[in-house]
Amino acid sequence: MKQFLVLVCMLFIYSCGIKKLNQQSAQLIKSDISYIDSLIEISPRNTVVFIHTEWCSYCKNMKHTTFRNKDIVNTLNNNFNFVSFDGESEKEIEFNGKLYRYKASGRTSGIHTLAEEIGTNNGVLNYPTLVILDSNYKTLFIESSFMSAKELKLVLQNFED
Amino acid sequence: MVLNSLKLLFFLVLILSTQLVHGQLYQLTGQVIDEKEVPLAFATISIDGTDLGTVSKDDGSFIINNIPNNTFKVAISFLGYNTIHKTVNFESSNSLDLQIQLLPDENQMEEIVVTGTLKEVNRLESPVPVEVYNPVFFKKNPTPNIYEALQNVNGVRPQLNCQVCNTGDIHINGLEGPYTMVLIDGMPIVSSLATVYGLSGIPNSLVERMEIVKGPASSLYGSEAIGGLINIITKNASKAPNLSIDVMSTSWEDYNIDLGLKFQAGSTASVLTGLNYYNYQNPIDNNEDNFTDVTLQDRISVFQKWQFNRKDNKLFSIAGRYYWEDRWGGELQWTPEFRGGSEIYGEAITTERFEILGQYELPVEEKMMFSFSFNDHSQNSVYGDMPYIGDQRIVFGQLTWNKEFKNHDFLLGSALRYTWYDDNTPATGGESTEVTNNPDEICLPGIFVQDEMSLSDDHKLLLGLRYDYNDDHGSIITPRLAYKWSPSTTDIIRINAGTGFRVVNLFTEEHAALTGAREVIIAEELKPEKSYNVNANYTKKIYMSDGGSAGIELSSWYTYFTNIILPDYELNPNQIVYDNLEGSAVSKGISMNADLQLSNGLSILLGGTLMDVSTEENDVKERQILTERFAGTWSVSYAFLDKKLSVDYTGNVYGPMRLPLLGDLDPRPANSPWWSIQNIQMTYKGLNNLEIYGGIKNLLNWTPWKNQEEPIIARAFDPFDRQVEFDANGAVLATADNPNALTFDPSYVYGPNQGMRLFLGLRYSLK
Repeated sequence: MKQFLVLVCMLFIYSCGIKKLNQQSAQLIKSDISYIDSLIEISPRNTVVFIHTEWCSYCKNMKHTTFRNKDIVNTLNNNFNFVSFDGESEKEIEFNGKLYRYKASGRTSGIHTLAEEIGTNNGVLNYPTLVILDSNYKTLFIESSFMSAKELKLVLQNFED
Repeated sequence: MVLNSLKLLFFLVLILSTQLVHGQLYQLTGQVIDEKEVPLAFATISIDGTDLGTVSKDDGSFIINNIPNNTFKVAISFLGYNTIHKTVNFESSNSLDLQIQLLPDENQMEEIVVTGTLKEVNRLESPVPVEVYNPVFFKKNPTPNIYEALQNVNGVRPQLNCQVCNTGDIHINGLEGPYTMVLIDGMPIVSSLATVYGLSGIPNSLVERMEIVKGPASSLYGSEAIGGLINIITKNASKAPNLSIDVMSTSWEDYNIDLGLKFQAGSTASVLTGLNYYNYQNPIDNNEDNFTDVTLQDRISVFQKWQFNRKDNKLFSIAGRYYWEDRWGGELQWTPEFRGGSEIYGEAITTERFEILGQYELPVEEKMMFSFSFNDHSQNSVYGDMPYIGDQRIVFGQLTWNKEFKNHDFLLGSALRYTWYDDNTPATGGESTEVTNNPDEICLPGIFVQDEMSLSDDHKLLLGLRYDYNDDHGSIITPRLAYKWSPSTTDIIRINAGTGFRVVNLFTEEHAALTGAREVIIAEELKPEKSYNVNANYTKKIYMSDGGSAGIELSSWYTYFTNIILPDYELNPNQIVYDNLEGSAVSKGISMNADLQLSNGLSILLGGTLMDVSTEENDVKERQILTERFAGTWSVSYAFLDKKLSVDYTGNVYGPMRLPLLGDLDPRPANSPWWSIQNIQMTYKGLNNLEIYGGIKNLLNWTPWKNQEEPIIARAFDPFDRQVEFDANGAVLATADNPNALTFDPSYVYGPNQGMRLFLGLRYSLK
């Protein structure tokens, strides 16, 4: 029990250190998926939708590497609308005038019908999926895999407004 | 002199830099086409070792300018197509035009499914540490059932309890099997009698993921979740392939077939069907004790899940499973006509079970879910000439209401579990061998509430409280507290405290299988068992920009049992005595998991657990039987040839365990040695929808019987104890025929009887 408490104390002291180290500089401007319709109306640029889940480790990786890359952050902030979308979110979302909602498949599992609608690629929805939509909600690009900053940069070049 | 040198240096730098600035720059142009020579848009063209690259336009064309080298490697890739790596050399000109044809990669889609949902060692965001394992993890060392697959999980050990009938249970952090609760889709349909059966016969192709909680979880799950929890989540139809077949065999001539099938029942429902068949009918006796080394088994399990489409997208699913198994082990000359007789020793068990489980989300605005399950488990078995016929039914219903309010996430629920149990032993009434005489019934209603509060972005607090009522024990209250702090997005610290309880019901445990040759004695009325636990957990994740990642997780726990009911093997060699423990038991330890995944295809998982499980009665502290102090697991995988071929090296290692002996004169070792099981596998995915895998299990060819001179089964030559003499108190006498005062004993078991063997399998999957 004593060792246990010592370990707990050590963890806390250590983590206080981490907290200080983790202040980020360039911030990616993210919009909530719920406002996608008004976002496209106000800012009729191409929209990058990043579909992810809480449990998908490659999605987390992209959040920590690809979407923290300075060039990516600048390109997305300056030339695109960027939407981060949890494919298992339980919010009701209006998209292109139509209402989409969460569909449960278990007490703690399910899928958002909008993720299914825009993220289904070759018949399946996998995470992460990156979709680029134009201001008329037309899909310009879709890819379902991890994308490094380098790969994403090459893609974004083609859709900059 | 110094000045001259500086001048020279300056001059050199100048020359070098002009060379760099005025170095020739090259231009690469080209077109990407597909297998039908149609231009491919959005293909990625990148130049290795530089930031240069582009994406092809609608007509498949591309241009890359300002290439500094005249020889370089270019990679052309597109989702669903094989990536092409090409070395380009600008010989005399400074521009080049390439025509590149990409061919479809039939297996690419599968690959993305795997990587896209990979969560091998992913911890959920919850304040309670939950380990999540998916089929990808278990495929590294394929096994015919989930029970055996758990040998790959750190801190979890499948423990065989019987050399002859090969039934077993699951030890989490050194705790006995009955302390582990097994759930399917969150429902307690696999109660102790059936733990082994619940974990076999679920086709791997139907398992979406397995969640493991180490430590009590009674505040949500009620009785039994006292030491740990395993929750098997079945796939839902939208994620399952249309057809999947997995066939595997080993050099011991056992066969395992997994079949998964999905279809749409019009627009009303999608239906998922799974079938598992396992057969092993080849008696092998490598240790030459005239007993089967591995129990012969014939097993079939059919599973079907209907998921109904409702207008409001709310959930309604019903699943059913039928399971039948026939197994026997014993003397090699045993045949079914000797079943139950006292001529030739055999243990034969026939099991039949039905399960129904469903989830229905109420058609109201609020998020309310009704879950229900029913199962019937009947076992007809003989251990030598001792029949054991048991029947167990469990009805379970639970209503939960999930409500989010500001920063609170409430979960309210009420549950009812009713267990009916009857067998042919005196415990359920009289000497009669009739099955139905005086069945044992347990009714356990409970209510629970949980509040998960987000105190800030980084701090989460979870409070839970549960109240259960039981006729024998009265009110049982189980609180829980969990705290999660994320100092950064890649660091998580969790502190958990909680209690667990278990309404004791010895006769729904597989003791009959476990005890085979022994009689069960209950010394007094047993009280509910309670546990108090604290655990701390720290996880750290590091992400690499090319998709690789590394993680480490440290945990420490301390669990204190106020009343632990442990079978006493040592009081009398022909009995197992159950008794309230006047005293306490403690399980404490630390564990570590580390994982590394590189984008080049290398993946390493390492786990280690150090633990100390002891009981204290009348101030005498003793180490618990069949519990190791150290256990380690690992897997090293590497994928190459465009990830078409992969190698997996998996293994585990266990420190010495105290073993159950028959008495002071028992010549068998009192402790097991250090032992390790290691396996290697190769998988080839280069064929259409088809995967071939094969390898060697138990590379070190290690078995307990090779490492000790004394036979593993005591007095295997006299399984009915005909030549054993007993004194007036039932204790065994040492005689000339029996100098060590032993009886027939197949319960001395800690490792597998199977040495090195080959395996080969095929997986076919149609999306």
